[in-house]
Amino acid sequence: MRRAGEGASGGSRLGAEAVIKVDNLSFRYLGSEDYALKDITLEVKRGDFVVLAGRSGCGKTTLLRCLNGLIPNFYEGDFSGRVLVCGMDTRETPPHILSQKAGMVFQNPDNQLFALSVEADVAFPLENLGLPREVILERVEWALKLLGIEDLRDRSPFELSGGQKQKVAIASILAMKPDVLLLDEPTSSLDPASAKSLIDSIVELNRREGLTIIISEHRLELLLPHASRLMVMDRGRIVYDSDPRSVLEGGDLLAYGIALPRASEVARYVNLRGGCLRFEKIPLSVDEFVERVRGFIA
Amino acid sequence: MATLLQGLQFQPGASVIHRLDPRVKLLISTTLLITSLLYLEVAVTSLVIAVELILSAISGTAKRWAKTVYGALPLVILIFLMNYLVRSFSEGSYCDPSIIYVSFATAYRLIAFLASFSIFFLTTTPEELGMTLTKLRIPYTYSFAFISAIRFTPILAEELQTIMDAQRSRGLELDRGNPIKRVRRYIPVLVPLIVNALRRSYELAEAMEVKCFGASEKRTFLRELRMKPRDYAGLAAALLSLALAIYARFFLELNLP
Repeated sequence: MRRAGEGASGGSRLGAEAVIKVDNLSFRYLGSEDYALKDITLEVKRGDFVVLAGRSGCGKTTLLRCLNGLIPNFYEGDFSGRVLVCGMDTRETPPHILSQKAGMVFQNPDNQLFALSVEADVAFPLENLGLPREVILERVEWALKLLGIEDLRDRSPFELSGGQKQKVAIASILAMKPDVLLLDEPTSSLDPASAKSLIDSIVELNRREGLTIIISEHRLELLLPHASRLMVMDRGRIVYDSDPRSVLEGGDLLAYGIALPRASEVARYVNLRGGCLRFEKIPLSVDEFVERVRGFIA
Repeated sequence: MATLLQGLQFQPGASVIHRLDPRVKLLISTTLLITSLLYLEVAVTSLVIAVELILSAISGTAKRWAKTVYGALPLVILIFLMNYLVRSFSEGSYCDPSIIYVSFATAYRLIAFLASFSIFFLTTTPEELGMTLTKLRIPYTYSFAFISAIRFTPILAEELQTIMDAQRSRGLELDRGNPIKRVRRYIPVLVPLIVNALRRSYELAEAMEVKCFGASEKRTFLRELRMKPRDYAGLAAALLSLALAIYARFFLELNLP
Protein backbone atom coordinates (compact mmCIF):
# COMPACT_ATOMS: atom_id res chain seq x y z
CA MET A 1 0.00 0.00 0.00
CA ARG A 2 1.18 3.49 -0.73
CA ARG A 3 1.75 6.13 1.83
CA ALA A 4 -0.81 8.93 1.75
CA GLY A 5 0.26 12.55 1.72
CA GLU A 6 -0.14 14.51 4.92
CA GLY A 7 -2.91 17.00 5.47
CA ALA A 8 -6.11 15.04 5.33
CA SER A 9 -8.36 18.04 4.95
CA GLY A 10 -8.03 19.17 1.38
CA GLY A 11 -10.94 17.37 -0.27
CA SER A 12 -9.95 14.90 -2.94
CA ARG A 13 -6.23 14.66 -3.54
CA LEU A 14 -5.09 16.32 -6.71
CA GLY A 15 -2.82 14.29 -8.91
CA ALA A 16 -3.34 11.01 -7.06
CA GLU A 17 -4.58 8.15 -9.20
CA ALA A 18 -8.29 7.29 -9.07
CA VAL A 19 -8.95 3.87 -7.52
CA ILE A 20 -12.69 4.07 -7.93
CA LYS A 21 -14.58 5.75 -10.75
CA VAL A 22 -18.35 5.80 -10.93
CA ASP A 23 -20.12 7.16 -14.01
CA ASN A 24 -23.87 7.85 -14.09
CA LEU A 25 -24.66 4.91 -11.89
CA SER A 26 -28.31 4.08 -11.23
CA PHE A 27 -29.58 0.94 -9.57
CA ARG A 28 -32.96 -0.52 -8.67
CA TYR A 29 -33.26 -3.74 -6.68
CA LEU A 30 -35.27 -6.53 -8.27
CA GLY A 31 -38.87 -6.24 -7.17
CA SER A 32 -38.50 -2.69 -5.96
CA GLU A 33 -40.34 0.29 -7.48
CA ASP A 34 -37.85 3.02 -6.68
CA TYR A 35 -34.29 3.45 -7.71
CA ALA A 36 -31.97 3.03 -4.73
CA LEU A 37 -29.26 4.99 -6.52
CA LYS A 38 -29.93 7.75 -9.02
CA ASP A 39 -27.35 8.93 -11.49
CA ILE A 40 -24.30 8.87 -9.28
CA THR A 41 -20.95 10.05 -10.53
CA LEU A 42 -17.89 10.16 -8.33
CA GLU A 43 -14.22 9.48 -8.16
CA VAL A 44 -12.16 8.29 -5.22
CA LYS A 45 -8.42 8.87 -5.25
CA ARG A 46 -5.81 6.68 -3.66
CA GLY A 47 -5.33 7.61 0.01
CA ASP A 48 -8.73 9.29 0.33
CA PHE A 49 -10.68 8.92 3.55
CA VAL A 50 -14.33 9.25 2.58
CA VAL A 51 -17.13 9.40 5.12
CA LEU A 52 -20.53 8.52 3.75
CA ALA A 53 -23.41 10.00 5.72
CA GLY A 54 -27.16 10.21 5.42
CA ARG A 55 -30.27 8.80 7.03
CA SER A 56 -30.96 5.09 6.99
CA GLY A 57 -32.26 3.94 3.64
CA CYS A 58 -30.66 6.79 1.68
CA GLY A 59 -28.56 4.42 -0.43
CA LYS A 60 -25.26 4.28 1.47
CA THR A 61 -25.22 0.49 1.71
CA THR A 62 -26.31 0.12 -1.91
CA LEU A 63 -23.53 2.44 -3.07
CA LEU A 64 -20.94 0.46 -1.10
CA ARG A 65 -22.27 -2.78 -2.58
CA CYS A 66 -21.80 -1.28 -6.04
CA LEU A 67 -18.22 -0.31 -5.28
CA ASN A 68 -17.04 -3.87 -4.71
CA GLY A 69 -19.20 -5.60 -7.26
CA LEU A 70 -21.72 -7.25 -4.92
CA ILE A 71 -24.07 -5.28 -7.13
CA PRO A 72 -24.59 -6.40 -9.87
CA ASN A 73 -22.91 -9.78 -9.27
CA PHE A 74 -24.74 -10.87 -6.11
CA TYR A 75 -27.85 -8.69 -6.09
CA GLU A 76 -30.12 -8.60 -9.07
CA GLY A 77 -31.79 -5.52 -10.42
CA ASP A 78 -31.66 -2.75 -13.03
CA PHE A 79 -28.11 -1.54 -13.30
CA SER A 80 -27.06 1.29 -15.54
CA GLY A 81 -23.89 3.33 -15.74
CA ARG A 82 -20.43 2.09 -15.00
CA VAL A 83 -18.27 1.39 -11.95
CA LEU A 84 -14.52 0.97 -12.33
CA VAL A 85 -12.47 -0.44 -9.46
CA CYS A 86 -8.74 -0.10 -10.16
CA GLY A 87 -9.66 0.16 -13.80
CA MET A 88 -11.80 -3.00 -13.81
CA ASP A 89 -15.46 -2.85 -14.78
CA THR A 90 -17.51 -4.44 -11.97
CA ARG A 91 -19.92 -5.95 -14.47
CA GLU A 92 -17.20 -7.94 -16.20
CA THR A 93 -14.98 -8.92 -13.28
CA PRO A 94 -15.75 -11.89 -11.02
CA PRO A 95 -16.42 -11.02 -7.34
CA HIS A 96 -13.36 -12.81 -5.98
CA ILE A 97 -11.08 -10.61 -8.09
CA LEU A 98 -12.92 -7.44 -7.08
CA SER A 99 -12.86 -8.44 -3.41
CA GLN A 100 -9.08 -8.38 -3.50
CA LYS A 101 -9.18 -4.78 -4.74
CA ALA A 102 -12.10 -3.40 -2.72
CA GLY A 103 -12.61 -5.25 0.54
CA MET A 104 -15.90 -4.89 2.35
CA VAL A 105 -16.68 -5.03 6.06
CA PHE A 106 -20.32 -5.29 7.12
CA GLN A 107 -22.40 -4.12 10.07
CA ASN A 108 -22.83 -7.29 12.05
CA PRO A 109 -19.48 -8.81 13.03
CA ASP A 110 -21.06 -12.14 13.96
CA ASN A 111 -22.13 -12.76 10.39
CA GLN A 112 -18.65 -12.24 8.98
CA LEU A 113 -16.70 -14.71 11.06
CA PHE A 114 -16.86 -18.33 9.99
CA ALA A 115 -14.00 -20.12 11.64
CA LEU A 116 -13.53 -21.29 15.20
CA SER A 117 -10.40 -19.29 15.94
CA VAL A 118 -9.25 -15.76 15.16
CA GLU A 119 -6.26 -16.96 13.19
CA ALA A 120 -8.38 -19.28 11.08
CA ASP A 121 -10.83 -16.46 10.42
CA VAL A 122 -8.14 -14.11 9.16
CA ALA A 123 -6.73 -16.91 7.02
CA PHE A 124 -10.16 -17.88 5.64
CA PRO A 125 -10.20 -15.69 2.48
CA LEU A 126 -6.57 -16.51 1.72
CA GLU A 127 -7.26 -20.23 2.01
CA ASN A 128 -10.22 -19.78 -0.31
CA LEU A 129 -7.93 -18.12 -2.84
CA GLY A 130 -5.61 -21.12 -2.65
CA LEU A 131 -2.50 -19.15 -1.64
CA PRO A 132 0.53 -21.12 -0.47
CA ARG A 133 0.75 -21.69 3.27
CA GLU A 134 3.85 -19.53 3.88
CA VAL A 135 2.18 -16.54 2.22
CA ILE A 136 -0.96 -17.04 4.30
CA LEU A 137 1.02 -17.24 7.51
CA GLU A 138 2.93 -14.08 6.71
CA ARG A 139 -0.18 -12.12 5.75
CA VAL A 140 -2.15 -13.28 8.78
CA GLU A 141 0.73 -12.09 10.96
CA TRP A 142 0.78 -8.75 9.17
CA ALA A 143 -2.98 -8.20 9.38
CA LEU A 144 -3.20 -9.14 13.06
CA LYS A 145 -0.38 -6.74 13.87
CA LEU A 146 -1.92 -3.93 11.85
CA LEU A 147 -5.02 -4.02 14.04
CA GLY A 148 -3.12 -4.79 17.22
CA ILE A 149 -4.90 -8.06 17.89
CA GLU A 150 -1.97 -10.52 17.84
CA ASP A 151 -2.85 -11.60 21.36
CA LEU A 152 -6.29 -12.77 20.23
CA ARG A 153 -4.87 -15.22 17.69
CA ASP A 154 -5.96 -18.43 19.39
CA ARG A 155 -9.25 -17.20 20.83
CA SER A 156 -12.56 -18.49 19.58
CA PRO A 157 -15.11 -15.98 18.25
CA PHE A 158 -17.33 -16.75 21.25
CA GLU A 159 -14.78 -15.28 23.61
CA LEU A 160 -14.52 -11.92 21.83
CA SER A 161 -16.34 -8.65 22.43
CA GLY A 162 -18.22 -7.00 19.57
CA GLY A 163 -15.40 -4.54 18.96
CA GLN A 164 -12.78 -7.28 18.90
CA LYS A 165 -14.89 -9.32 16.49
CA GLN A 166 -15.19 -6.34 14.16
CA LYS A 167 -11.40 -5.89 14.27
CA VAL A 168 -10.98 -9.54 13.33
CA ALA A 169 -13.40 -9.04 10.45
CA ILE A 170 -11.36 -6.07 9.23
CA ALA A 171 -8.09 -8.00 9.61
CA SER A 172 -9.46 -10.85 7.55
CA ILE A 173 -10.37 -8.46 4.74
CA LEU A 174 -7.05 -6.61 4.98
CA ALA A 175 -5.18 -9.90 4.69
CA MET A 176 -6.22 -9.89 1.03
CA LYS A 177 -4.28 -6.61 0.71
CA PRO A 178 -7.05 -4.62 -0.94
CA ASP A 179 -6.51 -1.15 -2.42
CA VAL A 180 -9.73 0.16 -0.89
CA LEU A 181 -11.43 -0.72 2.38
CA LEU A 182 -15.20 -0.29 2.38
CA LEU A 183 -16.96 -0.28 5.74
CA ASP A 184 -20.72 -0.32 6.12
CA GLU A 185 -21.63 1.13 9.53
CA PRO A 186 -19.04 -1.00 11.32
CA THR A 187 -19.76 0.47 14.75
CA SER A 188 -23.54 0.21 14.77
CA SER A 189 -23.62 -2.68 17.24
CA LEU A 190 -20.80 -1.42 19.45
CA ASP A 191 -20.74 0.53 22.70
CA PRO A 192 -19.14 4.01 22.58
CA ALA A 193 -15.76 2.91 23.94
CA SER A 194 -15.36 0.00 21.49
CA ALA A 195 -16.61 2.22 18.68
CA LYS A 196 -13.91 4.77 19.43
CA SER A 197 -11.22 2.12 19.59
CA LEU A 198 -12.38 0.67 16.26
CA ILE A 199 -12.52 4.05 14.54
CA ASP A 200 -9.06 4.91 15.89
CA SER A 201 -7.75 1.73 14.24
CA ILE A 202 -9.42 2.64 10.97
CA VAL A 203 -7.98 6.17 11.08
CA GLU A 204 -4.54 4.66 11.71
CA LEU A 205 -4.89 2.44 8.64
CA ASN A 206 -5.45 5.51 6.51
CA ARG A 207 -2.71 7.59 8.13
CA ARG A 208 0.05 5.05 8.44
CA GLU A 209 -0.63 2.68 5.59
CA GLY A 210 -2.20 5.17 3.22
CA LEU A 211 -5.11 2.81 2.73
CA THR A 212 -8.06 4.28 0.86
CA ILE A 213 -11.12 4.14 3.07
CA ILE A 214 -14.81 4.63 2.38
CA ILE A 215 -16.91 4.32 5.49
CA SER A 216 -20.60 4.84 6.07
CA GLU A 217 -21.20 5.90 9.64
CA HIS A 218 -23.53 7.75 11.96
CA ARG A 219 -20.85 8.60 14.51
CA LEU A 220 -19.40 11.57 12.65
CA GLU A 221 -17.87 13.09 15.74
CA LEU A 222 -15.04 10.58 15.79
CA LEU A 223 -14.45 10.47 12.06
CA LEU A 224 -14.72 13.97 10.64
CA PRO A 225 -11.48 15.38 12.08
CA HIS A 226 -9.62 12.70 10.11
CA ALA A 227 -11.70 12.46 6.97
CA SER A 228 -10.62 13.99 3.70
CA ARG A 229 -14.13 13.95 2.27
CA LEU A 230 -17.64 13.99 3.57
CA MET A 231 -20.25 12.66 1.20
CA VAL A 232 -23.88 13.22 2.12
CA MET A 233 -26.53 11.12 0.46
CA ASP A 234 -30.25 11.61 0.30
CA ARG A 235 -32.80 9.44 -1.48
CA GLY A 236 -30.28 7.80 -3.77
CA ARG A 237 -28.37 10.94 -4.71
CA ILE A 238 -25.19 12.54 -3.47
CA VAL A 239 -26.14 15.98 -2.19
CA TYR A 240 -22.78 17.10 -0.80
CA ASP A 241 -19.30 15.89 -1.59
CA SER A 242 -16.41 17.98 -0.37
CA ASP A 243 -13.99 18.31 2.51
CA PRO A 244 -15.89 18.00 5.80
CA ARG A 245 -15.51 21.62 6.86
CA SER A 246 -16.96 23.06 3.68
CA VAL A 247 -19.89 20.65 3.90
CA LEU A 248 -20.59 21.63 7.50
CA GLU A 249 -20.35 25.31 6.66
CA GLY A 250 -22.34 25.03 3.52
CA GLY A 251 -25.55 23.28 4.34
CA ASP A 252 -28.18 22.32 6.80
CA LEU A 253 -27.22 18.73 7.42
CA LEU A 254 -29.93 18.15 9.98
CA ALA A 255 -32.43 18.07 7.13
CA TYR A 256 -30.61 14.99 5.85
CA GLY A 257 -30.80 13.16 9.15
CA ILE A 258 -27.23 13.80 10.12
CA ALA A 259 -26.15 14.76 13.63
CA LEU A 260 -23.27 17.23 13.57
CA PRO A 261 -20.38 16.86 15.98
CA ARG A 262 -21.30 18.77 19.13
CA ALA A 263 -18.42 21.24 18.78
CA SER A 264 -19.45 22.14 15.22
CA GLU A 265 -23.05 22.53 16.28
CA VAL A 266 -22.19 24.93 19.10
CA ALA A 267 -19.93 26.95 16.81
CA ARG A 268 -22.65 27.24 14.21
CA TYR A 269 -25.10 28.38 16.85
CA VAL A 270 -22.66 30.99 18.13
CA ASN A 271 -22.18 32.31 14.60
CA LEU A 272 -25.91 32.42 14.03
CA ARG A 273 -26.52 34.45 17.17
CA GLY A 274 -23.88 36.95 16.16
CA GLY A 275 -21.91 38.83 18.77
CA CYS A 276 -18.26 39.31 19.46
CA LEU A 277 -17.14 35.66 19.21
CA ARG A 278 -17.14 34.32 15.69
CA PHE A 279 -15.79 31.11 14.20
CA GLU A 280 -14.37 31.74 10.74
CA LYS A 281 -13.75 28.04 10.40
CA ILE A 282 -16.33 25.64 11.82
CA PRO A 283 -14.43 23.37 14.22
CA LEU A 284 -14.70 19.63 13.55
CA SER A 285 -13.54 18.50 16.96
CA VAL A 286 -13.58 19.67 20.55
CA ASP A 287 -9.84 20.35 20.29
CA GLU A 288 -10.31 22.74 17.40
CA PHE A 289 -13.13 24.41 19.26
CA VAL A 290 -11.02 24.93 22.37
CA GLU A 291 -8.14 26.24 20.29
CA ARG A 292 -10.36 28.85 18.68
CA VAL A 293 -11.79 29.99 22.01
CA ARG A 294 -8.27 30.23 23.45
CA GLY A 295 -7.21 32.31 20.48
CA PHE A 296 -10.15 34.61 21.09
CA ILE A 297 -9.32 35.13 24.73
CA ALA A 298 -5.65 35.77 24.10
CA MET B 1 -30.69 -37.09 28.02
CA ALA B 2 -28.84 -33.85 28.69
CA THR B 3 -26.29 -35.60 30.92
CA LEU B 4 -25.84 -38.27 28.27
CA LEU B 5 -24.97 -35.59 25.70
CA GLN B 6 -22.45 -33.94 28.02
CA GLY B 7 -20.11 -36.74 27.10
CA LEU B 8 -20.02 -35.33 23.57
CA GLN B 9 -18.96 -31.84 24.56
CA PHE B 10 -15.33 -30.87 24.13
CA GLN B 11 -13.46 -30.32 27.37
CA PRO B 12 -10.23 -28.31 27.04
CA GLY B 13 -7.03 -29.87 28.30
CA ALA B 14 -3.40 -30.55 27.46
CA SER B 15 -3.14 -34.27 28.17
CA VAL B 16 -1.49 -36.86 25.94
CA ILE B 17 -4.91 -37.86 24.69
CA HIS B 18 -5.79 -34.26 23.86
CA ARG B 19 -2.63 -33.90 21.82
CA LEU B 20 -3.12 -37.16 19.98
CA ASP B 21 -4.06 -36.84 16.32
CA PRO B 22 -7.88 -36.80 16.10
CA ARG B 23 -7.80 -39.47 13.40
CA VAL B 24 -6.07 -41.82 15.81
CA LYS B 25 -8.60 -41.00 18.50
CA LEU B 26 -11.36 -41.67 16.02
CA LEU B 27 -9.87 -45.08 15.35
CA ILE B 28 -9.49 -45.84 19.07
CA SER B 29 -13.13 -44.98 19.69
CA THR B 30 -14.17 -47.04 16.68
CA THR B 31 -12.14 -50.00 17.94
CA LEU B 32 -13.85 -49.79 21.32
CA LEU B 33 -17.21 -49.52 19.64
CA ILE B 34 -16.67 -52.50 17.35
CA THR B 35 -15.23 -54.63 20.15
CA SER B 36 -18.21 -53.94 22.36
CA LEU B 37 -20.49 -54.92 19.49
CA LEU B 38 -18.60 -58.14 18.69
CA TYR B 39 -18.79 -59.62 22.15
CA LEU B 40 -21.69 -60.25 24.44
CA GLU B 41 -19.41 -61.72 27.10
CA VAL B 42 -19.37 -59.73 30.30
CA ALA B 43 -15.61 -60.17 30.71
CA VAL B 44 -14.84 -58.48 27.36
CA THR B 45 -17.37 -55.73 27.96
CA SER B 46 -15.75 -55.09 31.33
CA LEU B 47 -12.37 -54.87 29.64
CA VAL B 48 -13.69 -52.35 27.11
CA ILE B 49 -15.23 -50.25 29.87
CA ALA B 50 -11.97 -50.44 31.83
CA VAL B 51 -9.99 -49.20 28.81
CA GLU B 52 -12.47 -46.37 28.29
CA LEU B 53 -12.20 -45.42 31.93
CA ILE B 54 -8.39 -45.46 31.88
CA LEU B 55 -8.24 -43.35 28.72
CA SER B 56 -10.64 -40.78 30.10
CA ALA B 57 -8.72 -40.73 33.39
CA ILE B 58 -5.47 -40.01 31.54
CA SER B 59 -7.13 -37.18 29.63
CA GLY B 60 -8.65 -35.76 32.82
CA THR B 61 -12.19 -36.12 31.52
CA ALA B 62 -13.24 -39.01 33.74
CA LYS B 63 -15.92 -36.92 35.44
CA ARG B 64 -17.63 -36.11 32.16
CA TRP B 65 -17.24 -39.67 31.00
CA ALA B 66 -18.84 -40.93 34.21
CA LYS B 67 -21.69 -38.50 33.62
CA THR B 68 -22.31 -40.09 30.23
CA VAL B 69 -22.48 -43.50 31.88
CA TYR B 70 -24.73 -42.14 34.60
CA GLY B 71 -26.95 -40.46 32.02
CA ALA B 72 -27.18 -43.74 30.14
CA LEU B 73 -28.37 -45.69 33.19
CA PRO B 74 -32.14 -45.24 32.66
CA LEU B 75 -31.71 -46.45 29.09
CA VAL B 76 -29.59 -49.40 30.28
CA ILE B 77 -32.20 -50.42 32.84
CA LEU B 78 -34.93 -50.13 30.23
CA ILE B 79 -32.99 -52.39 27.83
CA PHE B 80 -32.44 -54.92 30.59
CA LEU B 81 -36.12 -55.03 31.53
CA MET B 82 -37.30 -55.26 27.95
CA ASN B 83 -34.84 -58.04 27.15
CA TYR B 84 -35.76 -59.89 30.28
CA LEU B 85 -39.51 -59.61 29.76
CA VAL B 86 -39.49 -60.46 26.06
CA ARG B 87 -37.16 -63.41 26.49
CA SER B 88 -38.97 -64.75 29.55
CA PHE B 89 -42.31 -64.38 27.84
CA SER B 90 -41.23 -66.28 24.73
CA GLU B 91 -39.48 -68.99 26.79
CA GLY B 92 -42.29 -69.27 29.29
CA SER B 93 -40.07 -69.34 32.36
CA TYR B 94 -39.45 -66.39 34.64
CA CYS B 95 -36.44 -67.34 36.72
CA ASP B 96 -34.07 -68.80 34.15
CA PRO B 97 -30.55 -67.62 35.15
CA SER B 98 -29.32 -67.77 31.55
CA ILE B 99 -32.04 -65.33 30.50
CA ILE B 100 -31.07 -62.99 33.29
CA TYR B 101 -27.43 -63.27 32.23
CA VAL B 102 -28.09 -62.55 28.56
CA SER B 103 -30.34 -59.61 29.40
CA PHE B 104 -27.75 -58.21 31.74
CA ALA B 105 -24.93 -58.68 29.24
CA THR B 106 -26.91 -56.88 26.54
CA ALA B 107 -27.66 -53.94 28.80
CA TYR B 108 -24.11 -53.84 30.16
CA ARG B 109 -22.74 -53.80 26.63
CA LEU B 110 -24.78 -50.69 25.95
CA ILE B 111 -22.67 -48.78 28.47
CA ALA B 112 -19.44 -49.65 26.67
CA PHE B 113 -21.13 -48.84 23.37
CA LEU B 114 -22.49 -45.42 24.35
CA ALA B 115 -19.34 -44.31 26.15
CA SER B 116 -16.93 -45.38 23.40
CA PHE B 117 -17.11 -42.14 21.43
CA SER B 118 -16.91 -39.90 24.49
CA ILE B 119 -13.12 -40.32 24.38
CA PHE B 120 -13.08 -38.83 20.90
CA PHE B 121 -15.55 -36.02 21.44
CA LEU B 122 -14.37 -35.01 24.90
CA THR B 123 -10.80 -34.42 23.81
CA THR B 124 -11.14 -33.13 20.24
CA THR B 125 -11.66 -29.41 19.56
CA PRO B 126 -14.35 -28.49 17.03
CA GLU B 127 -11.54 -27.15 14.84
CA GLU B 128 -9.75 -30.50 14.88
CA LEU B 129 -13.06 -32.14 14.03
CA GLY B 130 -13.26 -29.95 10.94
CA MET B 131 -9.67 -30.75 10.00
CA THR B 132 -10.38 -34.45 10.46
CA LEU B 133 -13.28 -34.21 8.04
CA THR B 134 -11.03 -32.49 5.52
CA LYS B 135 -8.40 -35.18 5.93
CA LEU B 136 -11.01 -37.87 5.44
CA ARG B 137 -11.48 -36.36 1.95
CA ILE B 138 -14.90 -35.01 2.68
CA PRO B 139 -15.47 -32.07 0.26
CA TYR B 140 -14.76 -28.71 1.88
CA THR B 141 -18.32 -27.51 1.31
CA TYR B 142 -19.53 -30.20 3.71
CA SER B 143 -16.90 -29.70 6.37
CA PHE B 144 -17.55 -25.96 6.09
CA ALA B 145 -21.24 -26.61 6.72
CA PHE B 146 -20.28 -28.68 9.75
CA ILE B 147 -17.97 -25.98 11.15
CA SER B 148 -20.65 -23.35 10.53
CA ALA B 149 -23.13 -25.44 12.46
CA ILE B 150 -20.78 -25.41 15.45
CA ARG B 151 -20.08 -21.72 14.94
CA PHE B 152 -23.69 -20.57 14.72
CA THR B 153 -25.58 -22.90 17.04
CA PRO B 154 -24.76 -20.84 20.16
CA ILE B 155 -25.73 -17.64 18.33
CA LEU B 156 -29.08 -19.09 17.33
CA ALA B 157 -29.59 -20.38 20.87
CA GLU B 158 -29.01 -16.88 22.18
CA GLU B 159 -31.44 -15.50 19.64
CA LEU B 160 -34.04 -18.08 20.64
CA GLN B 161 -33.71 -16.96 24.26
CA THR B 162 -34.13 -13.30 23.27
CA ILE B 163 -37.24 -14.04 21.24
CA MET B 164 -38.73 -16.15 24.03
CA ASP B 165 -38.10 -13.35 26.52
CA ALA B 166 -39.59 -10.80 24.13
CA GLN B 167 -42.73 -12.87 23.56
CA ARG B 168 -43.07 -13.65 27.26
CA SER B 169 -42.91 -9.97 28.07
CA ARG B 170 -45.82 -9.56 25.64
CA GLY B 171 -47.84 -12.04 27.66
CA LEU B 172 -47.12 -15.30 25.87
CA GLU B 173 -47.25 -18.21 28.32
CA LEU B 174 -44.91 -20.92 27.16
CA ASP B 175 -45.07 -23.29 30.12
CA ARG B 176 -48.78 -23.77 30.61
CA GLY B 177 -51.46 -26.03 29.21
CA ASN B 178 -51.38 -29.53 27.77
CA PRO B 179 -48.60 -30.65 25.41
CA ILE B 180 -50.53 -29.84 22.23
CA LYS B 181 -51.32 -26.34 23.45
CA ARG B 182 -47.71 -25.85 24.45
CA VAL B 183 -46.43 -26.79 21.03
CA ARG B 184 -48.88 -24.36 19.45
CA ARG B 185 -47.67 -21.63 21.77
CA TYR B 186 -44.18 -21.99 20.37
CA ILE B 187 -45.30 -20.80 16.93
CA PRO B 188 -44.84 -17.10 17.80
CA VAL B 189 -41.32 -17.99 18.90
CA LEU B 190 -40.40 -20.14 15.93
CA VAL B 191 -41.63 -17.80 13.20
CA PRO B 192 -39.34 -14.89 14.13
CA LEU B 193 -36.50 -17.33 14.75
CA ILE B 194 -36.79 -18.77 11.26
CA VAL B 195 -37.19 -15.35 9.65
CA ASN B 196 -34.07 -14.12 11.46
CA ALA B 197 -32.13 -17.20 10.49
CA LEU B 198 -33.04 -16.69 6.83
CA ARG B 199 -32.03 -13.05 6.99
CA ARG B 200 -28.77 -14.04 8.65
CA SER B 201 -28.09 -16.64 6.00
CA TYR B 202 -28.32 -13.93 3.35
CA GLU B 203 -25.79 -11.80 5.19
CA LEU B 204 -23.53 -14.81 5.60
CA ALA B 205 -23.70 -15.54 1.89
CA GLU B 206 -22.73 -11.97 1.18
CA ALA B 207 -19.77 -12.16 3.55
CA MET B 208 -18.69 -15.48 2.03
CA GLU B 209 -18.79 -13.88 -1.40
CA VAL B 210 -16.60 -11.02 -0.20
CA LYS B 211 -14.18 -13.50 1.34
CA CYS B 212 -13.80 -15.35 -1.95
CA PHE B 213 -15.49 -18.58 -0.85
CA GLY B 214 -15.13 -21.13 -3.61
CA ALA B 215 -12.85 -18.86 -5.64
CA SER B 216 -10.14 -21.43 -6.15
CA GLU B 217 -10.56 -25.01 -7.27
CA LYS B 218 -7.76 -26.05 -5.00
CA ARG B 219 -8.26 -24.54 -1.57
CA THR B 220 -5.26 -24.43 0.72
CA PHE B 221 -5.34 -24.96 4.48
CA LEU B 222 -3.25 -22.99 6.93
CA ARG B 223 -3.39 -25.64 9.63
CA GLU B 224 -3.37 -29.30 8.74
CA LEU B 225 -3.16 -32.47 10.76
CA ARG B 226 0.26 -34.08 10.83
CA MET B 227 0.99 -37.50 12.29
CA LYS B 228 3.81 -37.53 14.86
CA PRO B 229 5.67 -40.64 16.12
CA ARG B 230 3.37 -40.72 19.15
CA ASP B 231 0.37 -40.76 16.81
CA TYR B 232 1.78 -43.67 14.84
CA ALA B 233 2.27 -45.58 18.10
CA GLY B 234 -1.35 -44.93 19.03
CA LEU B 235 -2.46 -45.91 15.56
CA ALA B 236 -0.52 -49.20 15.73
CA ALA B 237 -1.91 -50.03 19.17
CA ALA B 238 -5.49 -49.35 18.06
CA LEU B 239 -5.14 -51.37 14.85
CA LEU B 240 -3.57 -54.26 16.69
CA SER B 241 -6.34 -54.34 19.30
CA LEU B 242 -8.98 -54.20 16.61
CA ALA B 243 -7.37 -57.04 14.67
CA LEU B 244 -7.02 -59.10 17.83
CA ALA B 245 -10.65 -58.51 18.77
CA ILE B 246 -11.87 -59.59 15.34
CA TYR B 247 -9.51 -62.58 15.16
CA ALA B 248 -10.41 -63.86 18.62
CA ARG B 249 -14.10 -63.49 17.93
CA PHE B 250 -14.18 -65.39 14.65
CA PHE B 251 -11.24 -67.79 14.73
CA LEU B 252 -10.75 -68.76 18.37
CA GLU B 253 -13.00 -70.91 20.44
CA LEU B 254 -13.32 -68.74 23.49
CA ASN B 255 -14.99 -69.78 26.62
CA LEU B 256 -15.50 -66.60 28.51
CA PRO B 257 -18.01 -65.83 31.22
